[in-house]
Amino acid sequence: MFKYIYILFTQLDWRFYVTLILIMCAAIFLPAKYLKLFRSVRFNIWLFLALALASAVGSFLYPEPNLYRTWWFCGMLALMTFDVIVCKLLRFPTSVFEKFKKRRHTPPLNSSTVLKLATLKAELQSKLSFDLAQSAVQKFFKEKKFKVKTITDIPVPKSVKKKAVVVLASVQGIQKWGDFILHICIVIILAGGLIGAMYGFEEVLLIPEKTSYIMQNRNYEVELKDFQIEYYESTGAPSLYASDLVVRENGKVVGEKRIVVNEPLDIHRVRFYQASWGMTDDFHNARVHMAGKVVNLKPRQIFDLEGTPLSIRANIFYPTFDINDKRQAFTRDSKGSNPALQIDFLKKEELQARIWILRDQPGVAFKVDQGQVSPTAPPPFFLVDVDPVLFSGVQVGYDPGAPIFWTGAIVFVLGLCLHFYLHRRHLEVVLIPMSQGTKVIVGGRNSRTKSDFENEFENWTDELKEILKCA
Amino acid sequence: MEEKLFAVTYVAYTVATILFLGYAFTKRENLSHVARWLLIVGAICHVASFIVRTYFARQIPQHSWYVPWSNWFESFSFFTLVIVVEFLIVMGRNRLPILGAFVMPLAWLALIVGINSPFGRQIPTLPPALQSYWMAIHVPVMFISYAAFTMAFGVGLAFLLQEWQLKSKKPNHLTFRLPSLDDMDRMIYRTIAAAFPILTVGVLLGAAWAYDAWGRYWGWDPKETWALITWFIYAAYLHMRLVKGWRGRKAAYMSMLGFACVIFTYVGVNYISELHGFLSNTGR
Repeated sequence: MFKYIYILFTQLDWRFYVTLILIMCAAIFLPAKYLKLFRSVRFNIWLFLALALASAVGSFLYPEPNLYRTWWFCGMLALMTFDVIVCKLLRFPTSVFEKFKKRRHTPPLNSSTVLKLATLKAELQSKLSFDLAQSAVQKFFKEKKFKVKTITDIPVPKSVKKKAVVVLASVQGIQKWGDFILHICIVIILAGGLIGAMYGFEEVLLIPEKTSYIMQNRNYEVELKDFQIEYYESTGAPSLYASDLVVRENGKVVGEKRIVVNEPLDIHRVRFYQASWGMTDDFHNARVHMAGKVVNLKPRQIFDLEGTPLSIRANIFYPTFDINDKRQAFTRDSKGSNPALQIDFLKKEELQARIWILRDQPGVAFKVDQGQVSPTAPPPFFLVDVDPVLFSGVQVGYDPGAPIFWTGAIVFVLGLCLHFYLHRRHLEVVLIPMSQGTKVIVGGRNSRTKSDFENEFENWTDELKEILKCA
Repeated sequence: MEEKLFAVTYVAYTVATILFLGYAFTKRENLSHVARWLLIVGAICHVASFIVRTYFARQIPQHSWYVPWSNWFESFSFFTLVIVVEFLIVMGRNRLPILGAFVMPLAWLALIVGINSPFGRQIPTLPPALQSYWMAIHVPVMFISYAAFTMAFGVGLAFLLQEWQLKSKKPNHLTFRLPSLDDMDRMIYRTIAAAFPILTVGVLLGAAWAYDAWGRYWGWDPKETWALITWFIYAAYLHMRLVKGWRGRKAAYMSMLGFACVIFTYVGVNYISELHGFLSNTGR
C-alpha cells in the first residue's frame, strides 16, 4: 500500500502539485471579501444547478462525451472543489489553518458565548447546594451516556458577579464531523478522478483468436489463446463470452487468466476487461451447398466445379453485408446479422468473376466489378454457414487515481451517515451558587430542527427538576 | 403458482389503494385498517411470487446470479414492493394512514407500468453484464432510495393540496385528516435526508460495478450522469433546507424536481443509454 502511494506520488506531474498548492493558497490567504461570493450558499446552489443542467445537456449528446471534457465544464468542477475548500476545509473544527487565520478563531467558552447558541432554554431554582447540584447534574448526564465536560470559574452571566460552573453534555457529538468529512471527501474524489484522467490510460484491443497484440501504453504483448461464446437456447442471445488471455512482458509471462464480463485480469493495476466481441473478415471454414451435397471451403482454397472448366475460391467473409451509396460492399458491424461470402470464379487460376453470396438470401447474389457491386443471377450453389474467426474486444484500463477515488468515496459515505443519521444534542448547564441553593440554567441545541429536540429537552429538564429538587 | 400469487398481490394493492382514497374523503376510520392489512397481505404474496420466480429462473444454468428485478416488468414490480414496504414502515411509525391516499396511487401506477411491459412478463435471459452479484446489491439499494423519494413526492403533493385548501378556506374531510403543513414539510425533509445517503451508496456501488465490468468507475454514460443530476438536485435541496432554512412550498417544489429526475434516471435514460438500456432491452 505504502509502496503504491509512493509510486503514485512520484509519478505525479509537478503541474498537479502547483495547481493544488495555488488553490489551497488562494483559499487560505485571499482576504475574506474576495471569498464571500464563494461562501454564499446561493452561489453554490446555482453552481450545483448549472452543473446538473450542463450534465443533462451532455447526456442528450451521448455518446459524444466531449462536453464533459470542455474547459468550462472542468472549470465548474474546479470551482466546486475550490468552494468546498473555502467553505469547509477552512472551517475545520480544530483546523491547523486556524493558526494562520486568526480572524476565524472561535472564542473559547466564556460569559459572552455560553448559552448563546442554545435554541432551547430553561431556568431552574434548585434547593441543593452548589456542589451537590453540580455532581447531580454530572451524574445525570453520565448515566444517560452523555459525554460530560465541566468548566469551572467562569463568570456567568455578566450581571452575576460570581464564579459559576458550566457542565457541557453532548451525545452523538461525532455528528459534527460528518459535514466536514463529506465535503472534504468531495475534494478527494475529484482529485482521484483528476489523477486518473491525467496519468491513467484506456486502450481497446481487438484481438483475433490465436493472435497477439502489442499494447501502446505498456510494454505488454497480449495473446488471445482462445475465445468462447455461448448462446441461450431459447433466445439465441449471447449468454457468455470469455477470453483466455496470456500477457507477456519482454517475453516473460506476467499474467494469465480466462476473463469474462465482470471478472477482469489485474496486472500491477493494469486491468484487462472483457468488453465486446465480434467476427473478423476471416473465417475458418465456409459450408456451401453444391449439387446436392455440402462442401467445406477453406479460406482462399481453390475448389473445382465438377463438369465445368471453372473453379471457385472463397476470399473473405462479411459478418453483416451491406451496400453503401457508392455501391460498394461493406460490413455494417461485426455481429453477423447478414453473413456473406465473397467467391471468385477462376479459369485456369485466372479470375473470371467475383460475386457475393448471402447466407440468409440464397436467391440473391451480387457481382463485383471495379469495386462496385450490382445484382446478378445467383450461382448454382448457396451458402449454408460460415465459421468465422472471432475477435475479442479487450478494454485495458490503468487508473492511478482509483484508490484515491475509492478511499474518498468510502469515507464520503461515512461522513454522510454521520451527518444525516446521527442526531447531535448539546446541553450547557450553567450552575450559579446562590445564597440559598443553586440557580441552574439549561441551554440546549441540536443538529436537526428545533422541533425534533423539543420533547426530549422538555423530558430531560423535567428529570433534572426532580433530581435537583427544584421548587 | 407465481401468476396466482401475483394476481393476489395486484388485487390487494388495487383494493388497498381504493380504500386509502376512500378513507381520505370519508369519515370511515376502519377503511384505513382494512387497507393496511391488505397491503401487508399483498406484500407477503408479492415477496412469495418473487421467490417462486427466482426459483424457476435459476434453473437456467447461466442464471446463478439471477434476481427478480432484471427486466422492465420485474423492475417495476420490485419498485412497487419497495414503495409498499417503506410506506408500511413509515405509516407504522407515524400513524398517518392518510398518506396512503398519496403514496399508494404512485405504487399502484408503478405496478401497472410493470404489468403493461412492452417486453412481456416472461423470465428474461440475462446478458453477460447482468450475471453478477452486483445486481443483487446495487439495484435494491437504488430502489430503496427511489422509493423513499417517491414517498417524499407523495407527501409533497399532500403538502401542496393542504396548503391550497387552507388558503382557499374551504376545509373538507381531507383537510382534517392531513397533518399540519409543518409536520409534512418535516416529513419530506426527513425522508429525503434518510434517502440521500442511500442514493449515494447506490451510485457508488454502481461505480464499483462499472469498474469491474467496464474498466472505469465513471464514464459519463447517461444513466450515471442522470444519477449524478438527481444527486445534485437533492444535495441542493438539503443545502437550501439546512443552510438557508428553506421551508414550505419552495422546498416541496425542489423535492418534486428531484423526483422528476429520479423518474427520468430510472425510465427515460434507458432509451438514450446503450450501456444501461437493460429495461428497454438494448443494454449490453
